[in-house]
Amino acid sequence: MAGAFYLSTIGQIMKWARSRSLWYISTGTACCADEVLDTMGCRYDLERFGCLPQVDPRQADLLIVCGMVSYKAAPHLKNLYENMLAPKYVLAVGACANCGGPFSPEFSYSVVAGADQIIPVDVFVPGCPPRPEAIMNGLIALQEKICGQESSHF
Amino acid sequence: MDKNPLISRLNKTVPGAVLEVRRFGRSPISSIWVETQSIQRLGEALKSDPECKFDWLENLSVVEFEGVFVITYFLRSTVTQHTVVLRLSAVLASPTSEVVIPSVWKIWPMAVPMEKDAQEMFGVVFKAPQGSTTVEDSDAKIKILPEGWDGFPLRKNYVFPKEFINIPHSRPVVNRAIPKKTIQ
Repeated sequence: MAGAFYLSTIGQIMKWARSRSLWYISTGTACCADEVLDTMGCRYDLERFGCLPQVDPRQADLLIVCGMVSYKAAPHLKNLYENMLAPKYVLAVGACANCGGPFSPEFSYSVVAGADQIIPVDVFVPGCPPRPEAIMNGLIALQEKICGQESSHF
Repeated sequence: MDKNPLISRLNKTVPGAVLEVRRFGRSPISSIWVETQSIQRLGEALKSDPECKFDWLENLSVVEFEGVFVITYFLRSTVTQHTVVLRLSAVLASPTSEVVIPSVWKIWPMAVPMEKDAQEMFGVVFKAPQGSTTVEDSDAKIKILPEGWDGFPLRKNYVFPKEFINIPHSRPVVNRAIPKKTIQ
């Protein structure tokens, strides 16, 4: 009975609280980091969604992979992800983090073909680079995914 | 007798080193093709030349033309503002072998990172002059490629890896064809 109560009511509150306090750590691996900085800035203001920038992976819930991941950076990115405490989510921003983009495996020897080859990714944001609206859209889609809702933002 | 006084001075100090003098593209800068093994003596002569004083190696580039590596040294003087381009070529014996070129890092210390880049990317080994430490012993601990990388990526015959540190270098092909809708 207690478990059912937890799953029904407290679980919903927990999901709501988690989705509204996504403290994130951002890996500025490439140029999409500039767009994420714009999203953090005063015009778009990511903090109104409850997102707070963190520098310590142990205090972060969300890992934003901004741009391409090279083979040299891949072990460090995986290390960063493994140092985060569960529940943890990953947002892949930009075409390079999604599939390699202009550095796809046919054209580049040194870029990993998507961040999902290393770590599990929850939401992919396409674009080269995506506009801040698209990053916010991906973030809202992640919030709805955490809440268990059917996303309406695609 | 050469028209360029620098070339005639070089022919006196290092005889046989200058093979050909051309213009560098359409610019007034002269491009000197030099003999490969005499690049160290030529570099010292150019650096100590009283009227030019080429004390700054601006850039070092490597190009591969069908099995021949062309290595270009862009020299500039911070004293007299002169510019000159040195070029030398080396033939690749076999597709996987390395090419050995005399190193100039004793003359221009800024050659160390550029020579290390060329060594990693093209497999051109820059051999230090005898009696000095090699390029590997110098202070710059620069590595561009990750540890355990195989091959020289900027060579023409380089084959991309299938996987590296258990990360596959490919993506599965997904058929994203839109299903055709029949018009009713």
